[in-house]
Formats: sequence, structure tokens, C-alpha cells
Amino acid sequence: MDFDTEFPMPTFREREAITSYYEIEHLYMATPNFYIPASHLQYRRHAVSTIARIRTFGYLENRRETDSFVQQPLWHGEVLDAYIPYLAMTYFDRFASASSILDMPGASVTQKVRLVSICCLSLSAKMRTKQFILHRFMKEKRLNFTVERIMSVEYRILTALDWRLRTITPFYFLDHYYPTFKRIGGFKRRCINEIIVQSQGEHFFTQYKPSEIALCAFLAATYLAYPSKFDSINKSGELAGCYRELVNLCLTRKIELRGESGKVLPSTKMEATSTAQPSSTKTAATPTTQPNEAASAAAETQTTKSEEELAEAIVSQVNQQSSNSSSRTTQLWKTVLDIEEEEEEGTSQLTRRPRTGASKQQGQDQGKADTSGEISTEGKEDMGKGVPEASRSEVIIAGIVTKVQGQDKDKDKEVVAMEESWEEENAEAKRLRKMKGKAVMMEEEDDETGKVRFISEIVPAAQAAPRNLMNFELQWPITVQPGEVLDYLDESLQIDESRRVSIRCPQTIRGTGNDPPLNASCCNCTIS
Amino acid sequence: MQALALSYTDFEAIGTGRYGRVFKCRQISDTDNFYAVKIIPIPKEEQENGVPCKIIREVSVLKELNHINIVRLLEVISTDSNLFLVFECLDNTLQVFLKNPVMFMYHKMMKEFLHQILSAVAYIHSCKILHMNLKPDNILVHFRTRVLKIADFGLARTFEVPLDSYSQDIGSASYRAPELLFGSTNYSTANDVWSVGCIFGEMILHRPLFSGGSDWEQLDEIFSLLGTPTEETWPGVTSLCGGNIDALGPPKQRKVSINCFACVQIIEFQLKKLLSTLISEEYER
Repeated sequence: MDFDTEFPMPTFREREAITSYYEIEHLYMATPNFYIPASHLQYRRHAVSTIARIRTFGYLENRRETDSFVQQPLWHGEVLDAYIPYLAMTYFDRFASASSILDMPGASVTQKVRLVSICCLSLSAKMRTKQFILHRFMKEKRLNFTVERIMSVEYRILTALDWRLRTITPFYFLDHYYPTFKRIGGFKRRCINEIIVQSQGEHFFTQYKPSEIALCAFLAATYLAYPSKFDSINKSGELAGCYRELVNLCLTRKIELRGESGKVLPSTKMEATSTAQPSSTKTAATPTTQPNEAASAAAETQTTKSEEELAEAIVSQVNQQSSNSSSRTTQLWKTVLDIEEEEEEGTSQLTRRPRTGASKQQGQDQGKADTSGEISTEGKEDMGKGVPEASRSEVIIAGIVTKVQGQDKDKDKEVVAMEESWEEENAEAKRLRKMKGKAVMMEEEDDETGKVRFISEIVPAAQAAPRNLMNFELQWPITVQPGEVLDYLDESLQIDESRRVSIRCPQTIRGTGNDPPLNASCCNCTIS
Repeated sequence: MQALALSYTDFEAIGTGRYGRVFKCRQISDTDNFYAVKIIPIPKEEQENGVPCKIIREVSVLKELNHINIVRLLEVISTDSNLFLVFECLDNTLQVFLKNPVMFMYHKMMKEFLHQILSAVAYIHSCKILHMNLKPDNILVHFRTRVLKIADFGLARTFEVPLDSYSQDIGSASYRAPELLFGSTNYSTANDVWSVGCIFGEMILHRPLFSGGSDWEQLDEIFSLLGTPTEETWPGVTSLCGGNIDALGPPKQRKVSINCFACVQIIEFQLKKLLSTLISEEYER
């Protein structure tokens, strides 16, 4: 490793620490088969949506009341720190697999899951900030759990996790991978962070170890931003499923990738334009990456060249850059915003993905598992071929697209029906005065714009806040598919084995102890 | 207390900390070893906040750390109004040693102590944890074996994803680095190292290196030893003190303390080196 002022040679102790992370990281994730039963997946979806909603509504509420109130953060002193919800979900995953959620106090399973996820959120907030004040938070969020109950659940979570709240997350491994990827152009820390945080909203990624997620976030970013360099990276085939999904995630959630200089990388812009084409399903988003790569391959050589020059120039002008970058960023941000506003339609359709994807549940999960399975099994041999592989997976995807499009109309109806049932549920909840705050807010939003627009609506709030490493809007799916109320899920705990959906990538050998020893002194991903 | 009395006996009060009392006790089943139990009461007003964040942090951090120079947490017992943390028992704090000048007659011991502190701090930092409250009170010493252990991680923070600012509530003023005294909230590993430097100075001088009461008095003392910083010696200092460098008082010359112990020069070197690197830590890239 070359000497680098930004990434000095890791000290002996740091290398030792990294090695130990590789050894123990599997302790900080859900147990290997935990998220296979559909009911467990449902717990997780509910937890994700609870946390995402708590966050999002906080901002919406504030935004609306800016006229009469001073704008307040989520709770006193908190900026848009996306790491808190991220941590909360890691706690939830571990807790759910370590002990049974059904043992928790609460009238219904939904309540139990909500209670647990709120407690996970408060624990992670306490770990990260000092300004978190539980009762104020509860008041602001109109959560009417008693403090005693929260505290007792917190204790149970702490005991179940053996008080080990300092979780090994992908972020521990980032410093380890940065120097390698710096050589192909580098990325802003913030965008890699964003990819990782957004991935936590999807259960698919719970099967991968933190270090794998970290590596795959880089691979996905490379794939999108420096496609020409992507094939030069020696990567293990096992992770193909993971970074493919992350690429999808980047596209659907519109994560903008920035180079070291803070410049938005070209393919992200292209992505922005390409998503303007009506693409209503998740699978339809995938092919856009293929032409993207092909079309930009030629242009890319030039752009990357200029990128390199730029990078060189930057080394000499670091100071100047840093002073300029803020103004520049805001400018870019504005342009991005403009694009997003224009694409309101496209966005809403895209952001619908998690829900529609989820609504198909078994069917699409099956399909998804199949594609990821196929891709990953092909991964190894295809790595060498590169281009043929792309076209092949395109064929697979195209197949799915036709299927999906066939079902599109029916699905839309389904969605409407489900929205109705969701509202019914809300109304019921309101009547019961259990989820008072949320139900009220939910309805208000339904009347006005529809849930789908939340994500795009929030952007200006994020713009107002200072942009830093963990300062971005959480884009986790806010809606669990309606109609699937958790309370009725208990019966489905006995799942028909034939219908069981395997979300695991067949080749991952997670937490088995068979993992190849990783030498901490160098990145196990090399660029040839 | 009842929960604790089930497995421990022979309680003997050995100290009162900032957050609770500490008892020495034995296990009922195994009466050979002593344990230290820290009893942390959770007052009613704090119960509103659920499990106190200080405890969550201290325990979660201690659970991860496994080093000979860091105190070992053996058990956590929780009840509604109290929390009991069972530690291995050490008989003295470094503070006690410092009060007894005879103890540091030999430089060898001083070096041994410093080495232990530094290796513990290096280990903590490699685990991406900041202690933020290093001082002689928080360093325990086993009298017979002269093993040093760092304790009290109540203010510790993890920084795998750096936070922009940490709260002001950190450590005692005597061991606080100058930029924190200026009101900066950018805590970094360098600040822990500064505290270690102060502790080392105290070992040599048998009195706190800097003993100022208020933040400004403390700064004044630092500058009278190391000289008033300028933009050349400490880039960025002007912005730290709000653009008003004159507020630091008349410029002071750096003292060369020949009349002190010979090894004072070592700290001088250390502190000087520290001062220059203190604010060079950059998180945002």
C-alpha cells in the first residue's frame, strides 16, 4: 500500500483490531436462517416501517408547522443522523433472532414489534447522542407507551444482546477498503455511507456480513460510477447477488455518487435521466443499468480521464477545494432537486417499488430469490467474461419484466385495495387510541398526497440541514404491505415447506466458520 | 441490594464516585477473590429517560474491551431503581499513588506506569472508542503487582462513524486539551493523549501539571508553560478563540524548564508535538 496522507498505513493495533472484527462480525447480525420464515420477514418489515415513519413524520410535522413554530429537529439537538436508525435495526435483527418477540408485552403482535423497534431506536439514540430525552421524544412523536414499559423492554433487549451495543457495522471496514478504491477514482464517504444505511431497509441484505456489505457498497458504487474499471476488480462470485441488489438500490433510491472532489459522478446523472422513462417495477429498473453501462462505456473513458485529471488537480488544491465545495455542493444539490421535481411522476412510481414488490410477496420473492440465485451461481464463471454475462442476466431480467408487466394492472388494483385496508387499520387503531399520533398523521397525509410522495417531499428539509457524513434522508420503505396485519400472522408460523422462500444466496457461507481467512494487512479485493 | 446479596457478601464501602458508591465484596461461593461493585442508583427523574445512556455506554464499551490494562466488567445486575456493575477489584487509584511522593522516586516505575496507560489508550483507540475522561481518579492500580487499569467509561464514545460534535460534558478541566477549553466540540483521539500527557506531568511534578479552575485560567496556565499559540505554531487557533487572538492576553514566551526533572523535557517534547497535531484530525473527507 502506498503512503497516503489521507489513509496512513494502519498501525499494528489497527490491523489487529480489523482482524478481530472479521472474526467476530457474525455475532452482530441476525442468525443465519432467521429471516427465512415469512413471519420473521414480516416482523422486520414492520420494524423498518415503524422506525422510518417515526423519523419521517417528525420532519413532515415540523415542516408543516414552520409558520407557527421554530423548526425543531427530530428531538432536541438531533440533526439528520441516519446512523441512529441504522443501529436500531441491527439491534432489532439481533434481538429478534436471539429471543422471541412474541414474549414481549403488548396486545397484538404489531404492538409488540412496534414496542421493540421503538426501544431499539431509543437505545441506539442513547448510544450515539447525549441529547436524546426519551419522554420528550415520546411526546413529540405522540407515542403513548409508559416509560416503565419502555425501560423494562430496554432491559430485556440489553440482556438479550448481552449489553453489547457497540455493534460491528460495515462502517468499521470502510477505512480498510477506501485506499483500494481510491485508486480507481474514489468516492465521497457520504455516498458510501448512504448506500449502506439505505440497504438496511431491505431484508435481503441481512444475510450478508458487515464486511461483505462494506465491500459490496464499494463494488456497487464502482459499477455505477466507473463502469470501465469494474471488470478490473477481482471479486469473489459469492457477492454478486449482494452488489447487484445494491446497484438496484442505488438506482431506485437515487443515491447520488460523488467522487473525491465532491463532483457528482456522471453515471448518476445518467441514471437520473434514464429513470425518467416510465419504469414502474423494480425489475424494470435493472435493465437501465445495462444500457447505461454500454452507452457510457465509450464516454466513460473520457470522463474517467477527466476525473483523474481532476483528482490530480485536487491534490494540489485541497484547501481551495474545501472552501469552494460547500457552495458547489449546494449548487449541485439544487440541480439534482430540479431534476427530481421534474420527475415527480417517475419518482413516485419508483418509490412505490418496495411496496408493490412486497405486495406480490411470495411470488416475487420467489422470483427475486431465483434471479439472485442464478446470478450468483453464474457469478464465478461470468466474472471473467464480463460483457456476455451482462447480456445474459438481461435476458433473465427481461423475462421477469414481461411477467411482471402482465401482472401490472392486477397489481395496481391490489395496491388500491390494500391502501384501503391500511386506512381501515389506521382508523381502527385510532379508534382504539393506541397508535394515536401515527394514525392521525397517516390520515392527513393520505388525504393530501398519498404516502408515496413522502420521500420526494422531504428533500427540501434535508437541504436546509448541513450536509455531512451521515446527514441524509432515510429512504426505508415506510409502508409495510397493507392487508398483512401482523396479528394474523401467527397462524402462518407453520409455513408450508414447499412455499418457503429462500432468500439466501446459495453460495454464501455466512457465520459457518468456513470463511476464508482474511489478511487484515491488505484488502481482499484487488485491482488488477 | 437484595439482588446483589444473593451471590455476594462481606460488603465494605471503599469509595463514592460521581455516579454512585463502590463496595468491595466477596462472592458467596468463592470467598478468595474480592470484587468491586459499583452501585448506580437510577433516580426517579432519570427513569423517565429509560435506561440511562451513561450506563448503556459504559457497559457496552467495557463488554467489548479485553485488555490487561482495562478494568474487567464481570457482571451486570439490574433492578428497577438500581444497577450493579461487578468489576474485578483493585485496591488503589493512581490518585492515591500521586499523593505519595515516595512512590515515584524511581523513574523506572514511572515509565512502567506510563507505558501501561499508553498501551491501554492505544488499544481503546484502535477499537474506535474515545475515553474522554482520563484522569488519575479513573486509573486503578493494583498495589502489589503494580498493574494499572483504566476504568470509568461513562463518558466514552465510539467513533466508527464520527459525529460532528460531542457534548461539552467531558472530563475534568485539569486534563482537558486546550481546544476543548476554547469550546470546540471536536473531540478526537489527540485529546485523550493530551490527558495522558497531563497525567505523566503530574507523576513527575507530584502536583497537577495544570490546575486552573475556570477554563480561561486553565488556558492561561497552559500558555505560560508552552507559550501563547500563534497561527504559525498552531494553525487555526484564531478561529478557535473566535477570531480574537488578543483575548488570550499578552503573548507569553515558551518556558524551557531546565530546573525541573530531567525527564520534563520528554513531556515538553510530547506536549509540543501534541499541540501541533491536535487539530489536524479531519473527519470530513
